[in-house]
Parts: sequence; C-alpha cells; structure tokens
Amino acid sequence: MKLLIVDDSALVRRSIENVYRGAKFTDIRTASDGLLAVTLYKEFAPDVVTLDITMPYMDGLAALSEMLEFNNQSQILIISALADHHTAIEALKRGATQFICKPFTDEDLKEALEDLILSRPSSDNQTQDKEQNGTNERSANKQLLEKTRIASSKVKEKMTTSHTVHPAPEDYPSGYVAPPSIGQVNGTPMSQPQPIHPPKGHPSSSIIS
Amino acid sequence: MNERRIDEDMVRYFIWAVANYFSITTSIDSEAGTPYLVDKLQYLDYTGVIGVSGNQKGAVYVTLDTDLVEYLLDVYYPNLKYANEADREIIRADLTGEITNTIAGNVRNFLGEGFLISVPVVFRSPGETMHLQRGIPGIAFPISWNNFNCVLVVALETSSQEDN
Repeated sequence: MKLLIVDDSALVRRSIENVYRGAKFTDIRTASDGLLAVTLYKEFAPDVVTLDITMPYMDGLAALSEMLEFNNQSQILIISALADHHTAIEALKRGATQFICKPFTDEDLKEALEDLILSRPSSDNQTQDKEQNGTNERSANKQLLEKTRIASSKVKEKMTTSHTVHPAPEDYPSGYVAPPSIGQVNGTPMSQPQPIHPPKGHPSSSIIS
Repeated sequence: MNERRIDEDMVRYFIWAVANYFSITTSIDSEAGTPYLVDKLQYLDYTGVIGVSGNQKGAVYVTLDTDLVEYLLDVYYPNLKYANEADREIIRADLTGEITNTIAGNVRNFLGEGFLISVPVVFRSPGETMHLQRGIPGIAFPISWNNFNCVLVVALETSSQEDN
C-alpha cells in the first residue's frame, strides 16, 4: 500500500515514516504543505494519507477537499493539534475517515491507522454511500454525526475535561455529545496545585497585580 | 492603575495544554509555576511564536533552552539522527514550532473555532528581550519538566480587555 504523509513538521513526518516504512506501507512519500500535498496526491494516488491541518500555503482542510474531489478512493487520517469538535466535524464532513489529535503516541497512530486500513470499504460501497448521501440528506447527516461522535470520543479521551451533556435534539443519533462549554474545565489534569481558583462562571476573571 | 485583568479560564486552558503535551509525549508530568504578567519577553535559546486571530488577537510564545530541546530529541526521537549540525539546528527549530503549535491548537478545544492560529515561526535569539506583539501584555507561565525549564507566554487581546 502507498502512504502519503502531510505535515509541515519534518519531525512529525519522519516519526510517522520511521514507524511505517517497510511494514504496512511499501511506498511512502511526504509533503510539507497542503499545496504540495495535492500535487503529490494526484500523481502518487496513495491508499492512505495522514494530513495535518495547520500548514503554510494551503491548510489541510482545503487540501482534503481538493484531494477527494480529484479521487475519493483514499483513506484520510487527519492528525492535528486543533482539538475542537468543530474542526473534527468539518474534517469528517469533507470526507476524512478518521481524526486524531496531537500530541499522539506511536500507539495512538498505529491504532488509528489499523482501524482505517481494516475499515477500507470497497469501491462499490463507496459509490453506494455517496449515492445515498446525495439522495438522503437526513441519513447522511446521521452518518456524519455518528462519525463525529466516534472522533469526539477520541478527542475526549485526551481532553480530561468535565463536559456538560446537553439533551440531544430529536434528530440526532443516540450517543451524541454536545461540545463542551467554556468554563467547565476541572482542575484534575494539573500536575500540582495551581494558584488559580476554579472559575465561578464564564467569562470569569480575576485581578493580579 | 497598574492592575490588569487576567482571565482565569485562559490560564487554566494553557496550563492544561502544556501538561497534556509533556504527559502524552514523554509520560513525565510537567509542573506549572505561578503565572505572572509581562509586557516584554526574555528569549531563551529557541522561541516558537503562533499568531492568533479571530475572536482573540495576539500571539502565543514558547521559549526553550537548547538543553531541553536536545533532551527531547535524544530521548523521545531516538531514530532521528542527523549527520550534521545544520540539520540538527533545523530539527531543533522544528520541534520548538511543533510544541508551540500543539499547545495553541489544543486550547482551541476550549476557545472554539473562533480561536484561529497561524503556522509557527521560530526565533533563535537567546538572551534578547522583545516587547510583545502590538503591546498586548502577556501572561507568562514558568514550566518545569524533568528538571528543565521553559516559559509559555500568552499575549492575547480579549473583548473584555478591549472594553477596558
């Protein structure tokens, strides 16, 4: 299989490449920005792409759209530090297969790529999915939200915050978790007692000299 | 008149993001000292800067000593051996930018999609002092990790500050 690694950090590109060279992927290429990635994608036709979002010249979301518009057979794994639900939703909406957050461990990456490889649909299924999405907007929206729920759960595992779960609107599939509200972070991830007291409301502020 | 307002939530988000970075990347927890206000930044050896736009404006800086960067590269990226110092220098800057980007990006989970961040820019000018961008005062977070020190500076202009 062919892998295209897209990230503006050479460190990240080399880390991913070192883990996978000669294993799952026999042919690996890299790109340092979205523009180069799209050009490379068109000639390389990778089976799998790992794609950063914040990059120079063209960001990952724009590159994602251009890539899949050209050829939608590749599986795209977004690897980004942008750890908000809106970004995850937008990436999945544009056709990304999975989304993991930086920082990540080798195990996180392996797990995500394994899932992605195992879940590769046949081209027939992809065509059927697209037809269904085109003719049944409600169904497509549910699929999107389900994907988002899975991605969001991965985000939540990393974000040790206390989320408020709002009642799900009727149209949403069960398990939908609303994005966290600002001001609901608990203090548990702190490695030592912090001098700042928990906020009593949002927006909250205190005065220090 | 010297009193300045500081958003407690903002402090907590960034402290969490730093702790999250070191915890996941190295499995060694970092410790955050008491944050304080600054209007000038004293650079350490490598400084990553992320421009912020959208609902908030300003920049996020992470400044690190060479020892810390080298240690991270040697221990946590052992496969990344570089033959010459020029390559090594590039990868030190790269790591600094990646740390800054990851911390700023993770905070977006709390601040939402209106918190827009640029790609990182990395400076190599140890010991120099620079006034923060657009004169926006910053919150400095002294961070210690594995007996190394670094400083995170968050200089953001919020709507409440503009109102003042």
